[in-house]
Amino acid sequence: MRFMAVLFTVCCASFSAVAQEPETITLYYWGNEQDLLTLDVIRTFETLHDGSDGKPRIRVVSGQSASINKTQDPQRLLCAVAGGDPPDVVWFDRFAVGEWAARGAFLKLQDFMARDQRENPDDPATLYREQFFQPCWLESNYQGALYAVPSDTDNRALYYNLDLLDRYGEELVAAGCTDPDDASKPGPPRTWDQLKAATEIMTEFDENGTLKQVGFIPNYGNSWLYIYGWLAGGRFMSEDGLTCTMNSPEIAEALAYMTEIYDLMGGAEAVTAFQTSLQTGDLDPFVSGKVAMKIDGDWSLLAIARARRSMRFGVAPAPAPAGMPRFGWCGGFAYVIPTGTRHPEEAWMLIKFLISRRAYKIRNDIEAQTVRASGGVFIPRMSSRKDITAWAMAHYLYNDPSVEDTYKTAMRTFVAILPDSKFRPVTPVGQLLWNEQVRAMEMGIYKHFYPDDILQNAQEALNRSRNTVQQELDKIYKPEPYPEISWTPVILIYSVFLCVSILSLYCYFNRRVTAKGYFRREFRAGYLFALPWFIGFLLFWGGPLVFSIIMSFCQYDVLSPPKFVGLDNYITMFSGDKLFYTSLWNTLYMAMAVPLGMIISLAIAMLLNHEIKGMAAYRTFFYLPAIMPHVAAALLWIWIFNPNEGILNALLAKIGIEGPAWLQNQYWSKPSIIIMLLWGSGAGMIVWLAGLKGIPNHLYEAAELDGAGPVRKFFNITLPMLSPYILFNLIMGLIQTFQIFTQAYIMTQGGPVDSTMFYAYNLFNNAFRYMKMGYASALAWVLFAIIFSLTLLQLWVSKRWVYYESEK
Amino acid sequence: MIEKNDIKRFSRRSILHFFLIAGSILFSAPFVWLMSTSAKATDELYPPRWFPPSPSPEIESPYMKLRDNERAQRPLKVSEKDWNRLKTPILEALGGRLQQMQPVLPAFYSPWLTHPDLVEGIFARMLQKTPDALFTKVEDLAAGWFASNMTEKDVFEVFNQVYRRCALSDISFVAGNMETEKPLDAEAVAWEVLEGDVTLVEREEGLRRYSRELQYSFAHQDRFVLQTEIPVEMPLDTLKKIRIANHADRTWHSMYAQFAFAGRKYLSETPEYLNTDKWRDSVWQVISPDDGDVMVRTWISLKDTGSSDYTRPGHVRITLTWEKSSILTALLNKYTFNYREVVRRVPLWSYIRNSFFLVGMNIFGQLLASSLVAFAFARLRWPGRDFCFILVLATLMVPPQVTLIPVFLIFKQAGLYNTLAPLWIPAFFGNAFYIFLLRQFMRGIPADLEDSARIDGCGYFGIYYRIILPLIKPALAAIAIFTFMFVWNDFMGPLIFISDQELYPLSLGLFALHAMMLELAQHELMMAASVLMTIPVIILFFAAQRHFIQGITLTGLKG
Repeated sequence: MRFMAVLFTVCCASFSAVAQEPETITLYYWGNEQDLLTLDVIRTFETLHDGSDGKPRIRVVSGQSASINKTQDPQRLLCAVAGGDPPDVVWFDRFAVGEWAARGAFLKLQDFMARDQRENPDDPATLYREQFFQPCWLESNYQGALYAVPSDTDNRALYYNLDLLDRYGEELVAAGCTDPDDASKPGPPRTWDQLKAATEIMTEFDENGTLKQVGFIPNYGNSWLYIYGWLAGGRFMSEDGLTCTMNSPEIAEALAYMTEIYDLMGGAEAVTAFQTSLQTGDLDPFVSGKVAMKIDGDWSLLAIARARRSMRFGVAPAPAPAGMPRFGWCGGFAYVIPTGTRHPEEAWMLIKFLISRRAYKIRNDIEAQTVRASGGVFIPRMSSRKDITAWAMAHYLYNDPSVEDTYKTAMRTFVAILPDSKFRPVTPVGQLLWNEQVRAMEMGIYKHFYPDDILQNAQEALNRSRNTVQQELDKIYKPEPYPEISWTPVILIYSVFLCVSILSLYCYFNRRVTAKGYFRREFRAGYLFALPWFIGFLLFWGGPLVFSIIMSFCQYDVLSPPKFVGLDNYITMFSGDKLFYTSLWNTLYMAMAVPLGMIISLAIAMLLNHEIKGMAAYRTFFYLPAIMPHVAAALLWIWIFNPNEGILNALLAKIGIEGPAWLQNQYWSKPSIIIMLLWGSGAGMIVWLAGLKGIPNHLYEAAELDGAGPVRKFFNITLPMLSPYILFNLIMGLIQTFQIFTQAYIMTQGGPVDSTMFYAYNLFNNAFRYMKMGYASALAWVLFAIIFSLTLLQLWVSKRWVYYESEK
Repeated sequence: MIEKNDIKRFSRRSILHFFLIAGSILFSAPFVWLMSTSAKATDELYPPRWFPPSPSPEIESPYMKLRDNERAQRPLKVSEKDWNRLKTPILEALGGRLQQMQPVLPAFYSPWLTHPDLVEGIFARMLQKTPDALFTKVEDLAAGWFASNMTEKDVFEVFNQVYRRCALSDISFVAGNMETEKPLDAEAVAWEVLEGDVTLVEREEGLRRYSRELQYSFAHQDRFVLQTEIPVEMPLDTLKKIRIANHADRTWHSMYAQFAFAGRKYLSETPEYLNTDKWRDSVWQVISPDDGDVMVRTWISLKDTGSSDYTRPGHVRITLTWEKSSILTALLNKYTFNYREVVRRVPLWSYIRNSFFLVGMNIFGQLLASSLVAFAFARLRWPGRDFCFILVLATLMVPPQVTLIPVFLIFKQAGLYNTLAPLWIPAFFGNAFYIFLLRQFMRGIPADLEDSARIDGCGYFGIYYRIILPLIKPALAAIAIFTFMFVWNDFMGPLIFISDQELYPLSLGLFALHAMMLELAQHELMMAASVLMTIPVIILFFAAQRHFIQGITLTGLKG
């Protein structure tokens, strides 16, 4: 008793001791790949808010992103926001801000900023619109209100190789590509016609007619359809944001122009083949002179400096159709505060610090020193703030006498065109618009619809993509009066349904089952033993299944309440969604590899089904691939399949075969994944072993007496006796094929050209990337129906060929 | 005398072993590739090769060495005959030309101009721009072409590539509030040789204007020590990081740093190896809360080793010690380097602790729940049993994505988001596949045992606990391994349910490391991390594979 009292006093004492300390607030900050560089910035912020002068102490926990790119891969953030426990500050890709802001996932920062301007107009930390470059600022606003504070920014322009330009000097000058300062010297093209002419001049084929050097690849570096569309005077979204206008004649013109340039060089297939044979890094094709011009971002300067510092090149605004203005395209990141944060004030303070010049300087000082220590050129990233960019460029680049003028001039061009640069439209369907412009571009340049008429083909591709986007847009802006669903009645009905069914079952058995005493005890024991499964089923299967069935008839984005839309999801899936069919086809393609895997694993099992020395080691070797963690295996195979540095192509080269680009080639990507899956087929051998061990030996002995050889024994005894296992493996293999996900998720992200867009991955994309949870549920149920019917079909067919011993 | 049967048996066994070995090699090849990559350095990844190159702990530095992948290689279209015929004359011509160029080249190059690696390096470099047709020409013509086309630029670039040396350059200091003092140029630092056979030579280079090259020899002594004192403007008690730009020579010797300031002595926890031949920035940092953080670490921690008699105000004393590596230590250092880097950079132990906790809870939960439920399905008769069993099988077919969101919402409602609970609680309700497996297994056990126990007055739980449980041990072992593998590898669950890095299991930690390393493109570190993650599973499987296979085979999947 006395001990307890002492303990109590000690506890109280320690509590009161804690109470005197300033309160500590913990902020969670999710960065990105560059987390490493922000650590020092965060520490500085902490030293500035260490609890002195009566304010709270702030601790920042950073580096929790665990995703390659949160915008491409947002399920963690989505779950965290939906889970009500979001991080306090997130570094987010600006072009997706609108998408999340429209769903109320981010706090409106406009109010914070307005308050600061009112209360502390002279505080250097107070933000004003005028401090920022216009496009960066507008990209962070949704419907006139600020939702994100832009941090870094990038810009795109035309890079050209001066050595190559000089080599083709006369022809280029004749085509009008002249140096703006000296008309007798060749210079970068300024109009589309000049660009086309220059491409034709600088493209070289070898004696077999394959590309040796190209002048310009429209979608190489970083250009996409967007920049051509804008340069042609097109808009992807209407002014009010209600209509998608990506099928406007200007954009169709732009896509046709891209196709034309591809055709100059032998078509998109030839150029892609050339492109996949190119290497990056030290042998960057632009640096090595294999690509004479490209449209790329300012980050490419760094790559050039790293690969060949002394290269002669220049940067100019991207060419536009004659008479049209030329400009860049900027993008970049921004800081946001997710809805539901517990410390919005402190988060806002952190954001203001993160975009301050001091934070910029800390981060860049570290990087500058590292880059310079390794003998490189340090090229700072542009900030969205005008004052910081001006200061940083002068401080790190322009005033550094050891840096070549080429880089300084190039950077000046990027900064100069920044104020007029375009940016991707701020819309709730930003991600979909992005994916659709990529799709339309691919359909366009590959001439998917009308191979003979480039313009008509472009128009058709754009029309299709536009309709997909518009459909989504209409759902958001012109919602049909679908009723909202509230979860309370659903949960209530589910509980009532459960109670009633349990009760009625209980009554039913009580009446029907007349057994008494001993048997009654056995029933009770049965239910008790199975209780864990019952509870688990009701919690983790029954409830969720009911939920997802209801969901599949709804429009639901997790962040706002679901709306009942009837059969809409299913109708769209079967009538309008081409990706659904593509993913289904891809998955079926993979299913064809199931028998192959079965044959290999059966062969392994027959090898391992002997009593000889060292079997434990052999089994481990064969089973090794199956026990390797999926993430590790996927990473390993990315590395093996690497077209330039992988072991596979190196081995093929030894026997004189030039290996394909494997995962990066749309025709080889699926076979590549099949090869990887076959490597893991040791997993299936366990079941075969079980079957082989179950075949009675006397059958073989009898056959031997009859003079049967090993082949006949295999086909007449082993195979028939194994038929139940064949069935089992076939069913399990099929189920697994339809659930292939990790490979697509880690290795290929569904590409190239949707060739590894598998069913489960498509489902995942819809659920988490496009936030179409309702549609994803519908997809899931169709998947269930497919697997279920295929299983039934197999069971039905199997009656003819599966032999059960017990049926004798 | 050897029986005919013996020969037959022997040959059968040999064939069997042959296939088994061939298969084992084929199936383990990717894994071997993984191991091999994990022991390479970043610049050894290409061209692909099975064995990571071994280190060369030269005792004299600077020295010249061409890397294997930089040697002159026969272009594909040139015949072997022409190649052999022309290689020597060309190399001789190039060597002669180099001697002629001597007056134009920096004086410093002179002693190295006859080095065969330099000549071969220039040859290899020039091959890239040589027309293949040249190789069909007579010796004089071909060799003449090479000699006349060689430029100063070729010599400069190849020299920088093959000349390996140790050097020191700028030093800078960072305070606790991250204010960086302007870096101190190499020329302002006066290094004093305390011990060993080393001279410091001033050199001017294109990239870095001032540096001190270390010309050392380990022939007589196994170490050398340099020391300097540097004035620092910031208050010394706020000093946090010290950066020294240095160039290494790829000898895999080690370099230790010791700092003394404000009356304390600090020693680097791990050495910096001379493992590259590039400039780099080595960062040492006094132990701070950063070391306890879960971030990827890019610095070397300095531990406080007590008070020092060095108390000069406003100054820091830096002592750098280079220690010789024997060929064995160099090998060991090189081949374990990436592994130690992974352990040093990421909070691996925290990941492993979480993974083991999850694995333990899941195995316990699955064994308990699945065996109980399977007992109810296999040995007890109760109304609705068969219908429920069909339901069990049906849940196998539901894609996991279907229930992902609802299950997430359930755990969120229960307030378990960002805890480990959602990752082990479901195990206590059994898993359909394991229930199915165990049920099949239990049905194979004769009923006589159970009956006699019942006659002796044993209850249902007694039968389950005393009779069934001991008999299904092999199947339980199989389930334990399955569970281990599943939980160990699962990264989707943690990705959704966990946001705090301190709760990451190994699988997600590896994925996060991958995300971070993507920028740095350090494949070898990823591969080392993968090996570290795979090894526990391999050991477990190898140790338990007998029970595992027995567990599955005895089950019998029929009927």
